[in-house]
Parts: sequence; C-alpha cells; structure tokens
Amino acid sequence: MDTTQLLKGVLDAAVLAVIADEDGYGYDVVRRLRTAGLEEVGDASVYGTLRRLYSAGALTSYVVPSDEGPHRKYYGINDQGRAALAVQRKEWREFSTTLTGLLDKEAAR
Amino acid sequence: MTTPTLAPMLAVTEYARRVREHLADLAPDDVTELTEGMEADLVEAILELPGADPETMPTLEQVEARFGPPAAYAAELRAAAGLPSGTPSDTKLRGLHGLAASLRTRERNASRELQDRLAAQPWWPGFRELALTMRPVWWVLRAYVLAMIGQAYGAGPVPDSAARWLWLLVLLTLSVQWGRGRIGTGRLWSGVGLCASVLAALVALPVIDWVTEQRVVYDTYPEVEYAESGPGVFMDGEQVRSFHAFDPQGNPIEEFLLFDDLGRPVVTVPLANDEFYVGGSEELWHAVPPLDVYGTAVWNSYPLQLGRWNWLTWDEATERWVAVPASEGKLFTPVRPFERAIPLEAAVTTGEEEDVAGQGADDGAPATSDEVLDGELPGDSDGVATDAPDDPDSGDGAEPGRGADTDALVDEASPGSDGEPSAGSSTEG
Repeated sequence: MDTTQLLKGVLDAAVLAVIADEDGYGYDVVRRLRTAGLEEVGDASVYGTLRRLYSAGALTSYVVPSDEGPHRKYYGINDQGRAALAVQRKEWREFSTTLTGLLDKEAAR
Repeated sequence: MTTPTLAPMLAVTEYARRVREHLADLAPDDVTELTEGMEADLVEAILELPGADPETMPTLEQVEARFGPPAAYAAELRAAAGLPSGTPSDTKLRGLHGLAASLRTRERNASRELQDRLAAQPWWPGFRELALTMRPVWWVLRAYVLAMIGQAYGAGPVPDSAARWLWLLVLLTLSVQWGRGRIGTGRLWSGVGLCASVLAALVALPVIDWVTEQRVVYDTYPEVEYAESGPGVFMDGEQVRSFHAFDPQGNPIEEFLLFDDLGRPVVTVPLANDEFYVGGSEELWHAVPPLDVYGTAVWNSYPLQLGRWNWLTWDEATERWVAVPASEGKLFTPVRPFERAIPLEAAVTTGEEEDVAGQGADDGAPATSDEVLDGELPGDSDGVATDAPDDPDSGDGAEPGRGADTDALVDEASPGSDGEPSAGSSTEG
C-alpha cells in the first residue's frame, strides 16, 4: 500500500500531535515524524503543512536565535490547534475502528 | 545541533534558490513564509545522511537525490500548504513570467469565486454562451485598438499608412490566433499577450471615443450647414428667396404681402444689403423692396423685385437699395415657376359662370370645368370633375413639370425672356 497517499489525509493530525508533544522547528518535526515510523513523509510536505496550520491559526511561531548556526523558527501549538487535534483524534479513532473492523472481518472469512 | 559548514551550504543554497524560483508566482510573503529557514533544514537533513561528511561539499545532484528535483519539492510545498499549483517552466524570464503567472493565479482565484456566485444566477448560462460567442469581437477590437495607438492625431479611424495596415493585419492574426489558443501558450508569450490585452482594454475607450469624434466631425459638417437656419425663411434646409401666390382659380397674384400666423412679416431677405447671385451670373443682385404709404421699405412684399448692383444705389433714408434713375425700368421680378396653379375643386364647381380657365384657354371660349379638367388630365378621356382631386397624378400638380404637361394650363414660359437672367434658374443656384 502506498503509505504516502494514506499520509496525506492524516498529516495534519500527525504534525499537530508532534508539536503538541513539544515545540519544534521544521526539520525537527520531520525528524520526529520519521523517528515515530512515518519514514516516507516528505520534507516539503511537512514544511507546507506547518505553514498552512500556522496560517489557519492552529500554531504559534517564534524565532530562536543561535550563536553557532542559523536562527530557527519554532512552532508551538495553541488552544485552537489543540481543539483541532482533539477533533482529528476522535475522527481517526472512529475511522480506524471502522476500517479495522471491516478489514478484520474480511480476513476472518 | 550540528553546526553547518560552508561547504554543504553552496549546493543547498542553489537548490533552495531553484525551489524559490518555482514559487515565484506566489506572493512574496507566501514564498518567504514557505521557505524561511529552508537552507538550514536542508543542511541539517544532509548532514544526517549516512556517511555524511561536514567537510565535503555535496553536489547539487546529491542534494536532489535526497530531496528530489526542485520543481517537485516546490510542488509538494504548495500542495501541503494549500497554495495554488504553478505551471512548471524552465524559462529564464522569471520576473515577467512570474508577474504573469501571479496575475493569472489571482485572476483564477477571483474568477473562481465570481463564477460560483454567477453560476447561481438564472440568466448566467445564456449570458455566458453569448459572451463566449462574442469573444472574437474582442479579439478584433484588441488588435484594432493596439494598431491605432500612435496614429497621427486627427488621421481618422482608418489606418493612415500602408505600414499601419500591415501592422493591423499582423496584430489581427496574432490576436485571433492567441484567442484561439493556437499560439503563445508558453509563459513568456502568454505574459506578453496578457499585458497587451490589458493595455488594449485600458486604451480602448479613449481610442474609440477619439475615433467616433472624428466620425462625428465628418458626418455632421453638412448637417450643420443645413441646420443653420439663421434669419430668413428655410424650406428643407434651403433658403427661400421669394414667394409666388395663386388664387383659388389657380391664377397668379401679382403682388401680395405675406405674414405668418403671429402677424409677423415673412421676410426672405433678412438684411437689406443681402446679396444674390442670379442664374449663374457673376454679378451681385439685391432685393429692391417697395415702400408703404409711410415711405417705409416693405420687405414682405412678394414676388421679390431684383436689381443688379450697378443699377442700384443705397438709399440711407429708407435703408434699401433703389434703382438709379437710368435703370429704373430694368428692375425685374423673377418669373413664376409656372403661370397657373391647379384650381381648387370648390373654385371650379362653384364658379362655372366665370372664366375659370382664364388665360389658359387657347380658344378663348369660356371654359367649363370639364374642359379644364380634361385639359389637365390629357390621358383621362372621360375625366369628371369629382375625379380630379383624387387622381394621384394631379395631386402634386403644383410642380412646374406637372403643370407644364398641358397646353391648357401653360402660357409662354417666361415673360422675362428679354435677355434678363431667368429667375427660375436663380432659385436653383
């Protein structure tokens, strides 16, 4: 199964969940998603998603200066983002339960 | 955090530049937001690759191997950020095509919104079909407007030179072909086409306004002349010089005073010094009015009397031209256009005892109404009195040509045939 296609539908939830766990900058979020097992996630997809969620008001952002490297733009979650994440969690659970039930029933025959 | 070194930065910087190039159609703020810190992220990702050496400069190929082609990366950014996708292009004219693409993008967004709203209108489908059908009109107008830009002022709505005609033909071809999507589908040329269209739309009204103004000047010039009724009497836009009156029997009235319904004298010579050219003569002629019992010139006495300039002298007392003594007999009254008018039905049927045919009867015998009418209608052998006024051929009998048809109604053509210019022709000139 092409997981990149599956990922498209749930990337928002994944990114929100990662940021809700801890603030992070662009590549940091990519790395954590990959570490969590979403190895096929595209860098650009994550950056674009961050930008879109920020525009939608689900994230805050702040710049962290660095002495040894470039300044980093960190993203954090806000109330609106948490609310969105809660909704998406609920939807995902329902959806995955439904699909799991469907797939398992088919497999049991 | 790993410290990025200069070495990997070079390829990364180039890669980031190319990505931004593919986003050039977006608003600058969007591009900044989308790619802020991109280099740092790329470097960090590169350095995490297995076997990465911070001291070795990666090639652009290696960067692309990790992140994919810049175009694909840019497309992924757009898609994830929910921004409109651009058209991939390799052209170098980033500024121009960037502008055109950005205009197109905005136009697309705005028109999508507008279309949704319009599509809800009941009249929209018909209107849309009509507008699509009319598109070629705009293509032609666009080419015409562009071709007419720079035409010399006042040169008129038509191209003023062979070169401009050629230019118009070229623009027409380009405009129509572009409109049909046959040419200029590339970014550069669609940008040029868009700019040209916007320019044409902006200057269309001034150009058309200017063109119609030219046309108005040409068209109305004669109308202005006609409409200039000024002082005097006009008929169908032409000045009337004199009047000839006929009584109900059709006989000429030798002299009469003419007033309008408000009692104003009807004067065809508004200024006593007005000049006439008579019958092709190079000489100037003046009207010579009679005097009333108080010695005042009477300008509404008709038919008008005329005198040639060298027969006349200006009389200060009466403010009119008068004949010098040696020329007193020479003054003349322009001949009537015809000697008799067609008598009125009432005048003929009630006046049977009189010589209604008057001088018109060649045989000198008293004429009956039937004789008059038979003469008047030569082709109508059994013409009767009651038929005459209804006959369409006799209805316009006041015309000279019509009256001259019959011997019975026409005398010798002109009493003024003693070498004087014919006033009949003077009214033509």
